[in-house]
Amino acid sequence: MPAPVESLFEALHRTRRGSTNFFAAREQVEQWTALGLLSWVETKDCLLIFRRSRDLHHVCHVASSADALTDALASSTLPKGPLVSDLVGRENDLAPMTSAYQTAGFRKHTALIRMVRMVDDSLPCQEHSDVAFAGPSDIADIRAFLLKLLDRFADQIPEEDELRSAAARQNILIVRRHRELGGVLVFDRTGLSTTLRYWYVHPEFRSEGIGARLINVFFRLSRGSRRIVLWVVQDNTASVEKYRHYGFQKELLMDQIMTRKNTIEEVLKELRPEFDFTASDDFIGDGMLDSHDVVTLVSDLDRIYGISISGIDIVPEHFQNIAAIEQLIRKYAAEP
Amino acid sequence: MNFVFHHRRISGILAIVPANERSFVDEMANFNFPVARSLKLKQVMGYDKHRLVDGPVCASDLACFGFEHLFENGLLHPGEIDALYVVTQSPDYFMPPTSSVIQGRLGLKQDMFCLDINQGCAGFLIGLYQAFLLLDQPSVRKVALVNVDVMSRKVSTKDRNSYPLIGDACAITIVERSADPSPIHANLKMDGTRREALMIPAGGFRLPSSPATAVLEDDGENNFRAKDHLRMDGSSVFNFVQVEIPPLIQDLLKTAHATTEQVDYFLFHQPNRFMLQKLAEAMKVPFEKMPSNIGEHYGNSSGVTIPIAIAHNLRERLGKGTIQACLAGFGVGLTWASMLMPLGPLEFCDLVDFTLNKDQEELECMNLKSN
Repeated sequence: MPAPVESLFEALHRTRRGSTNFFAAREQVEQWTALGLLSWVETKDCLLIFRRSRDLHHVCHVASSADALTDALASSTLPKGPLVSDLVGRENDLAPMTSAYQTAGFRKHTALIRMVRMVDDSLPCQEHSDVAFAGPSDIADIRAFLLKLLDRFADQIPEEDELRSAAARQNILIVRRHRELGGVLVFDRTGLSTTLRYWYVHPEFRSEGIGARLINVFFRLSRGSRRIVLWVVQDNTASVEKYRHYGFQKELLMDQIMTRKNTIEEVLKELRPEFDFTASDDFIGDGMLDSHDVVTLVSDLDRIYGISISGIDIVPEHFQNIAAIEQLIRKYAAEP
Repeated sequence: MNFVFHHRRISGILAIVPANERSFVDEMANFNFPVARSLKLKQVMGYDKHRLVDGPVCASDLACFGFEHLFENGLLHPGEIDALYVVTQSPDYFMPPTSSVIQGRLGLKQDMFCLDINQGCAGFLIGLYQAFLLLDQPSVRKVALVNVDVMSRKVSTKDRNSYPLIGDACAITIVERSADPSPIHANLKMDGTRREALMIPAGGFRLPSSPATAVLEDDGENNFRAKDHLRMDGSSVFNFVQVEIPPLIQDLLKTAHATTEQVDYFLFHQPNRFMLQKLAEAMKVPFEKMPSNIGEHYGNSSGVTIPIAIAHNLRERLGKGTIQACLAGFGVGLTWASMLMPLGPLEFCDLVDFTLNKDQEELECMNLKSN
């Protein structure tokens, strides 16, 4: 059972904010708590907050210092399964936090940079009749659409309730193509800023100008703000260029995404705790994995890494040792 | 090889399953494996309940029970059966054929064609091909295709590779001519070089059963079975299915100028949930179009699983309407086959529980003694 939300706010209040990546608004925290998604651990100088999202947990911290964070990450019991943490700040300032997470077994997954555009007369501003505000009946489709397209580690995948309140605030634009969603744009307003959260077009309809129409309507709706901000994958030069084209400029702020996935050794150990998998180069030949274990392992790997290993690849050679399994997972584009 | 048939239809399906239901959780103690591992396997493979004959029930017992159900309910008349094809790997005897046993027990007419076919998991399709071919003869109006197996009697209870998934069952499928001229496309491949992937090594003339063939042996993975028992090379069979079936279906649809979207249901043989879901993923077919729930309800009854999948999942719908069905069977031989056909409306589509009729059993035993 999650502890009452008030005790979390008290713990947040108690902990000195020397280093943190927890910036959620009170309303958001209340929503997550109500859904039973939050849990936390408090040490003397650090509060670790875990938010469950599908089969992974987002890790946030409020710590008096990077050293306190390192100690807390090392001494606390972290949730089972894959973990992800967003570290936000200027690139140079992030180093101590990044290394604290690295000490606890996290690795750099990807980095996002912030881009900003001031709202002025040069902002395109058009109406398009096929761009509509999302209604309650669109929510399930939108979430399924985002789940398919988003990187589950790099993107904060919104819960249905979050989408529902965003739709009620008229912060979700959609274009429908027959019964399918052709494109979705989700944004947030805070004070004088508007944040472009997601802007995606269905791969099948990418040549139809849906993206341009969505962003034009979004620009029109942003007129009341002073500036528009967004986050984009640092290495995604095509997207960075597209935003430049629309007048966005890079800022110095960065979101370093850290992940800790289960190691293959841990997955194997859970399956057959009686064996030392680092000591063998031939799990099948040494009798450590039988054909049924391989099936169970495939189902575990599919779930943990968000991949679907093809039936054709379920042959003993691919499960002989850790290197072979790593190679198999890499083939499906997930870094083990 | 490809086949095309015209003016053929399935007019009724009755599946017969033993009333005796066993559960994987209750049987886990038989296997030499930690409970946690077995439970995980249950989740992945969909092992749950399965139906097994209770006692010395034979193929003809299940089939006769089904025919009598049809006769009593006015769904079929004995005199209408012009041919009886029995597809089984677990015949009552080496000789006579099980089809002759059934014909005799039911008192069917002499003016008919009885034939046993030794086939397994592709046996529903093999049986349909044979029935379709025989219907070229004007004297044949109705073929009763029986798929039946009581393989639980040939599986070691200490074999986790086979026992949790095995099921006993029978299906009676009535095949007739139809007015519909639209083609039914089908294909078939066989590879006898891989014949040992699924086999019962002892009990035939090559290796007759003896006290030595009844001795349980460890297969190296903590499964114990004798040469008299069914043995399945799980990894090879899994790989065979994943490699051969997607291109088989692709070829079938190409020949028929059809797309996967035009197929309402992919009614495939039902080995286990994992294998079927991996197939569906490879073929980019949504899981709801490819039922994979027969193993968990009844077990894998080789050639009977497709008619059971139809009766269990679609009996309401097929009473009234028609679906475009893609059938596929794959297994012993090795044999793999698929067919694209309109299915329904059916005159009957049902699933009944088999219970032992004491009189019948005694009659069969007496016949055996007097021989």
